[in-house]
Amino acid sequence: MISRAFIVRGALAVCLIAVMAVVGYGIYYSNRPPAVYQGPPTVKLISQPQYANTVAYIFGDDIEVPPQFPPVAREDGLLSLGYANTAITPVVVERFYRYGQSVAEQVLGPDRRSYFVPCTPASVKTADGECARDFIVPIGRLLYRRTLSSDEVAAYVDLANTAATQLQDFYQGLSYVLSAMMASPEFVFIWDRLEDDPDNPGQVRLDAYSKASRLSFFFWNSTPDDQLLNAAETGQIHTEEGVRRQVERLVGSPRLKQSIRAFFADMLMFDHFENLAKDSVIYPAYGPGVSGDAAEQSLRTITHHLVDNLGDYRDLFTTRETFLTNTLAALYRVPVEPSREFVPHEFAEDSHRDGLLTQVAFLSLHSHPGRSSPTLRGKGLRESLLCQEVPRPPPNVDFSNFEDAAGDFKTARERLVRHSSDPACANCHKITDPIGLGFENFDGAGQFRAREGGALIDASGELDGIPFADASALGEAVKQHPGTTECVVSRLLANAINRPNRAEDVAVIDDLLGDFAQHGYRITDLMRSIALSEAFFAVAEPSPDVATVARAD
Amino acid sequence: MKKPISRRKFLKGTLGGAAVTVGLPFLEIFLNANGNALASGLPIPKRFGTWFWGLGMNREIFVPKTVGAGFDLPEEMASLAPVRDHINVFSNFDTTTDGRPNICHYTGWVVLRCGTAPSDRSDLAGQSVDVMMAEAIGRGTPFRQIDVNATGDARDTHSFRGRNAYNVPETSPVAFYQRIFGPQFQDPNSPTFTPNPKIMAEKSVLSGVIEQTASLNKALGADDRARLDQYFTGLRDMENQLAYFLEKPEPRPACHAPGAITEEMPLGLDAELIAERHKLMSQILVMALACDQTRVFNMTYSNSFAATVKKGHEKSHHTETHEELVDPELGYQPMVSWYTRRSMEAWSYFVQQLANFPEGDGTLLDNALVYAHSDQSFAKVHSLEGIPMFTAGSAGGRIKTGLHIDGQRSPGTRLPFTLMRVLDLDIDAWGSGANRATNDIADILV
Amino acid sequence: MAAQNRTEPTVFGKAGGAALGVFLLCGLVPLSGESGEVNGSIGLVISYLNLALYQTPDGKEECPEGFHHTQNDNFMAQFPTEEARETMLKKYIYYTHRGPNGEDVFYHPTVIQDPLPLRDIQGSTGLGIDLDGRVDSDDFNSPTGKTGIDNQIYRVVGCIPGLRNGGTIDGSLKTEIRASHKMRMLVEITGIDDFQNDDQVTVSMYRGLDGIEVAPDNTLVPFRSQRIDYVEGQRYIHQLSGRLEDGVLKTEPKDVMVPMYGPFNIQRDIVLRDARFELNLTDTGAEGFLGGYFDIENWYGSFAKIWGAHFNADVTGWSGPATYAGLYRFADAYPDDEGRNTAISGAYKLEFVRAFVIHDPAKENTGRTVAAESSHD
Repeated sequence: MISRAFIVRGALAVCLIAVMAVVGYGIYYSNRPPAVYQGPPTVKLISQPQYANTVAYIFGDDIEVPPQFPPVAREDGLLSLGYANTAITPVVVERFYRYGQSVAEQVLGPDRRSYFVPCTPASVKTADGECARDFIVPIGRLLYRRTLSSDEVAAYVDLANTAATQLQDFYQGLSYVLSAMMASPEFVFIWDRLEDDPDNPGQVRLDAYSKASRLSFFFWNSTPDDQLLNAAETGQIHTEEGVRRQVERLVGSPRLKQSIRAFFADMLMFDHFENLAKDSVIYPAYGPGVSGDAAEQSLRTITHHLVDNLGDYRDLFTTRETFLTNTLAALYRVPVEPSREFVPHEFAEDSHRDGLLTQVAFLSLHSHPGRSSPTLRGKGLRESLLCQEVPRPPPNVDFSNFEDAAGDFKTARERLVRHSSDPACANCHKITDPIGLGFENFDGAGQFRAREGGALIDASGELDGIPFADASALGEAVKQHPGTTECVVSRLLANAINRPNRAEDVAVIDDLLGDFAQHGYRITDLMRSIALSEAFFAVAEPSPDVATVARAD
Repeated sequence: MKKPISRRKFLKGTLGGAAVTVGLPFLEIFLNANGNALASGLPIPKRFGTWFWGLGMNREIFVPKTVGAGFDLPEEMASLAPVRDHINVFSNFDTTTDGRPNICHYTGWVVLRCGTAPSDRSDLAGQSVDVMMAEAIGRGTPFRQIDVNATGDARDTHSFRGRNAYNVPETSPVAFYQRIFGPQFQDPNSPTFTPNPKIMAEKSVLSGVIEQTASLNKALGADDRARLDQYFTGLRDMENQLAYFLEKPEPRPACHAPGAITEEMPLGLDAELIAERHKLMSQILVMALACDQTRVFNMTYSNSFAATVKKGHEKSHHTETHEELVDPELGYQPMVSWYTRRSMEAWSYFVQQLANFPEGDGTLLDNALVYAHSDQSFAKVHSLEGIPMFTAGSAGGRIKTGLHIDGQRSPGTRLPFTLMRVLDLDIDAWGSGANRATNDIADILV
Repeated sequence: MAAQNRTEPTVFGKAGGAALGVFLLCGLVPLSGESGEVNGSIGLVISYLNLALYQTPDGKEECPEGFHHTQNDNFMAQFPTEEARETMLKKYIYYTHRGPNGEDVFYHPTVIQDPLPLRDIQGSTGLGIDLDGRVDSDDFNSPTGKTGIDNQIYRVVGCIPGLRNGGTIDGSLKTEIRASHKMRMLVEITGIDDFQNDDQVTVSMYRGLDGIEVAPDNTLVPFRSQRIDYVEGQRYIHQLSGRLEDGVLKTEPKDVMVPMYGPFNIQRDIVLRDARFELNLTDTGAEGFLGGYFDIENWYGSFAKIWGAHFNADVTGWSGPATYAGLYRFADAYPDDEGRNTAISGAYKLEFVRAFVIHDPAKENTGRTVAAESSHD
């Protein structure tokens, strides 16, 4: 068995062959179940896309949800792991309360209430417990991802009745109940709940509803639907067959794209687009709408390739099939059918646009507002797509080396030669710059250029032993790099089970990698493998550790 | 359709000086004979705030040559001339890594906010000084503290309750306005007060749901239990906020809810844009203070890696600190200094906003204490020695102003320590290791 | 309950690029991804158009006596007393109705002579193109040393303040060009073998259909795609032959129609006879001239319709009868049977940014009609 550490360290094409040879069988056909690490149950704050998907599923996608939630820290390359750890300051709770209030006002406002409340109250000016119940029971089940107990329902109906009586307004009372439910930790957190495992006395397992949520958020990045909740209620979800049936249904749904989009937006750090602006004098074509379009282009490229075409994940780094708006096409300097919408586009063979890394999103995200940055691009590639960590700069860097001839550098390569000639800088910059320089044919807005400062750009370099001549060849090198597939496997696993990879996960990851290879590196098959792996539902009792997070008061 | 009030109009109309002029009858009714307290006998509230800018300064053209009163204003802080007598300058105070690594652009401000040098980039020991202040003086207002920035990026804050627990700042003028002066706002000067029945109903439903969920599954790890507790704390704060709106507020003669802001600002870190965002956020903040919606605040002008840019110039502030040549004739990095000067202009503007806002027989600034600082002194080499600091305001006559204090390389943490004691926090020491402060900066005490 | 189901457009795959097939993306293989040149072609979309007027900032050099006398100046001169003016206005209601029978003198410029003289351009510096290959005594020299420039319309209208930089007409043209596709002139150069020097290229003129994007610095964003207006814009479609000389496009003379719109959607197209381009091509656009002979009746009709109605002439600073007479006085081409010239030389100053011209083969096969095919040498 090839260890994960070895792959990351060695990073040679040879490894890939070895991995494929050794683990050339799928884990759920294996007679040798890997020893699976059982993580603690998690309580995960709902993310903006999860919230938006949930609201859209329950109430329709015309209900407005704020486009940005409070930021969380990325952990092991993923915000989604940060959500399982972030501390909750009062201002965050206040925001969630207001989000819920806004949704409730829209849902129970005069325009939509008749659509969502399945009954007509006796009078809009008085309480109507029966009608309130008819609304609360099904909505509460989807919001809390479990069937509400009769006590709970009774309590919520009481609250609605009291408020309706106080205000002489049935719908307003119901609206306050809905907004308070959406501020409840039952909705705002996605819970792992444990129960005794009847098959393994003395051990615990995820309860049925928690399993339904785990599946639903993994495949749809949204709340479980009625069928999943039924499978939980009937206990089918505890059977292998029941899980398999649900997995097939989930993976075959168009809603799978929601999850793929969210995962790659997270892995590729597209949240940084929320604050990305380019210098309008230096890059006049990169107007305010471009960054959103650029992110959307890459996400459409990804979902099209991975879901519509069931393509090989590695081909994402070479595919020329994409989608463009007229505004984006101007940056690429290609003709498109002018439209406000995205239209399919295939870049020409010698367009220099081969794969995700040569798209405006990656190139402009990992650049400064007014210029390109080989260092940021190199770091972006290594950290987000190869799962390698680039050390931070040392504290007391001596920048005097830059001073000698700072004004005379024509190209970024000339500037960065300084980094490699200074030993204090060289150690880190040799990790980032040689690959980042491969993208120098693209300026800070992602526009192609042959020259910088009049000098022809040399975009050659090497990626962990694989030489390349330019960004297109670098895409090919990334495709060949064993870290590329391993990275997506380990990140997707972490995303599925809500915790960073651990040393104990090596066997699971290696098995998944083998399975991934066997299925032609199709993401949908990888997701199926993950969900059917023993690791997916594996949890243990939490250790009674001392809290390490701050108390809020 | 309601016509949105343009940003410019808002700037001019409500806060430019004209609209803050309060009719005398109000003053007579609401203030006691001395003008230093409300007629009800309650003192004018004390306020504490912080103001942060990134990437320090150039010592030679920033630090005044003379100490004490009447200090000179070297070119990099020349824009502070209108507020010189309202501020104190603190130079030559040290911040140390305390044997830990110097985590670039992090160690400096973390020490000056919580007194302890971090051991890694996510390390935050305890709470920041503003949170401690908020516990002490922030109760009794709807918002225990308010955090805002001028960068538009919700990650740019220097206020925290511990590791992973940053206070999320307001970044959008529209959202900030809505939060403070939205429909739930109770005008403290309204002649009549009737508790809003909607808020009453809303609060009772919220309380009911909190009760419903209070007995959630406790089979959680300690961390998750703590997070759940945090969440309930937040919900109770929310409950208290609603409760506050149900009580008749004390009259605040200086309070005038500004016209609604409906126009979002564009993204970006161009210095002009930051200046405009800073102005707008400052003005809403000042009115929130005048209306006693909060007593504790944090303003971040730029973050510690300040990526502020000058339009058409390809290098950001941070990049220039490392890459720009020192001009042999000037003796400093001209572009870096350009960025520092913009920061000082904003600081000057901020102090002026408070200083020009009448309250009682003085100004809002008289009843406030603002602590301003950066994360570095000389950013080119990430220097922590002599990180520049200021105070503004006299906290109701409790500290002197108009002074330049030379710290003689004593710990910079002495300043926040002193300020907390000035506002009656009962502490004898603050910070840890070499950054532990035990001595007040006596020169500023009245 | 509404399930969220955001589907994305049908793509590639089985459809095999059907969506793209509708539009022929002018060529197959880009010569260079950087410059946006597709298969030896360059597309351009208009960003500025006005008559080519050499002007000094205060006009003292070219208009030493001052700018044109306005409609109001002439009205005051024609009816010098308060009483005379009152009588005229009582009878004919509006002050432009200065004709002997109350005719509007902008639409009937021959019914009177303006009492005040035309202030025509003095001096010999001018912009434009040498249309006849001769250096005549009334030709202009450009500030950069070009000689033999034929631009007699400049003599007539160069001292109208509204036409000059920052004037009302200049501003209106800028607005019209950006606000809609009505004046969205597209130029496409095809058949390019060498982008610097090529003795045979084809130049097509179209009107575009799609919006432009203005960058924060108020320039147009280049390299956006523009579809051709085959329906309403059919009359603006022309094909010219040309050549590239050191990166300058020069075309052979041909009659063309230039879309011309004013405020309030007033439309009066311009016929330019023996029109030819002289454009300096850059990486992101082009600037230069479209020169030729303006048919005087057509040009005056357009100008008077757009800028002579109501008080427009006073806002823009000119008067009808003097200008009309001036046009014939300086006319230098297309004599009628009686030997009187009916056209006047001139040029538009043009600026373009690069664009992709999107063709629809289905619509091009229906047969292209060109407005005017006659040429003149």
